[in-house]
Amino acid sequence: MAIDHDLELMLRVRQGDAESFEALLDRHRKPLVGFFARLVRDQALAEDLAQEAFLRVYQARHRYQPEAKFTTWLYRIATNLALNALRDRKGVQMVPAGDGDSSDGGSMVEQLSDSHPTAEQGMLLTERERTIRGAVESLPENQRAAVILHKYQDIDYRQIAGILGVSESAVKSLLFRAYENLRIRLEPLLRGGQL
Amino acid sequence: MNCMDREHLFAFSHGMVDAQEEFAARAHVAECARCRQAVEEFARLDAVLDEWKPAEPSPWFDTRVRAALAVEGESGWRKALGAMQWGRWLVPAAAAALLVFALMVMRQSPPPSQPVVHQIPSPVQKTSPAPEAGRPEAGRESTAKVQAQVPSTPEDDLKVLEDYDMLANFDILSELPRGETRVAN
Ligand SMILES: [Zn+2]
Repeated sequence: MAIDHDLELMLRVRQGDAESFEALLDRHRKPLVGFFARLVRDQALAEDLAQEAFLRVYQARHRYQPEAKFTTWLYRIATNLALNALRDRKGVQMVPAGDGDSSDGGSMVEQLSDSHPTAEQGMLLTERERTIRGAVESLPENQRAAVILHKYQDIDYRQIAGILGVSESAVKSLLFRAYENLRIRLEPLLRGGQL
Repeated sequence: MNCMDREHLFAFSHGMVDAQEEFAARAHVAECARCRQAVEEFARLDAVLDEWKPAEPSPWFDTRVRAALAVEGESGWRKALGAMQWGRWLVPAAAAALLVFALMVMRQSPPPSQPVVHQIPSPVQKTSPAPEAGRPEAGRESTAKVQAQVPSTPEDDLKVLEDYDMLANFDILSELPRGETRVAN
């Protein structure tokens, strides 16, 4: 299984095997850059963050404990980096864990697009993709991170609980609210799309 | 029959329920058009979200990660690096660049202003009948030559290599003659 393979590779990295690190890089480069790009909407920043995530994995290799799945660990690092980068950029307030809806609606999309009109460089999107991205970006931070992890990184809700540091039931509820918000915001696509 | 609440249906449609719950939900949805419609809505949303394609990493992404790791440079990694596929070309390239640099330094350095020991023709020393006097001279000569040249290198030239901290992480540098290693550091 893929996850076990990551774990084996990471244990070998811990012992100083550089080729295993190359293998991890190869396996996670694309999903990780995609994850950051969806969260920060800036290709260059996404790559910087992905690079930083790999560097941190390497630096922390001696502390790596195989009890946690590798991807849980990797995306915990990645999520922290992404959320910090967003906050650094905008001074956006963190939504309390598992309490996405109590925020101001967390509309980060306007703030991002206002302050970074050129931040989309390198991202060519269709109109529908823009609409979807806008809907995801309009979610409160935690819902947004949860949806991206769940939907686009294909990470199990139990793992997401570990990544976000909340309970499994909190993740279920977070995801439910996130998808319900998306359903409302994407209503035109849901109605019109030939799916 | 009792309809499931929407959140429960959502959990069911995303595989977030246990086997028993799943069995019950499946049975209910099969018979309840309203709940079936909700499940279909979740699936439709899922399909729409799939349209947002991920960004691709740029072609130089790996190179940047490797450079960052090389700078990180720890001894365990340094050893392993030599065995890496990319290390195989990077190491010779670094060594070649270093040799070129060393040659340039040798050609550009002005002659040392101090008395030049190494201009004594070596054949004279070799044929010298007094080895105790000649030998130490010759030994000092080669050291003096290297030391005289290195400090005379302009600081600006050295900075070029200082920027490439990663070069210092390759074992091959320690195998080079001493004088060149000094230039690298
Ligand atoms: Zn029903």
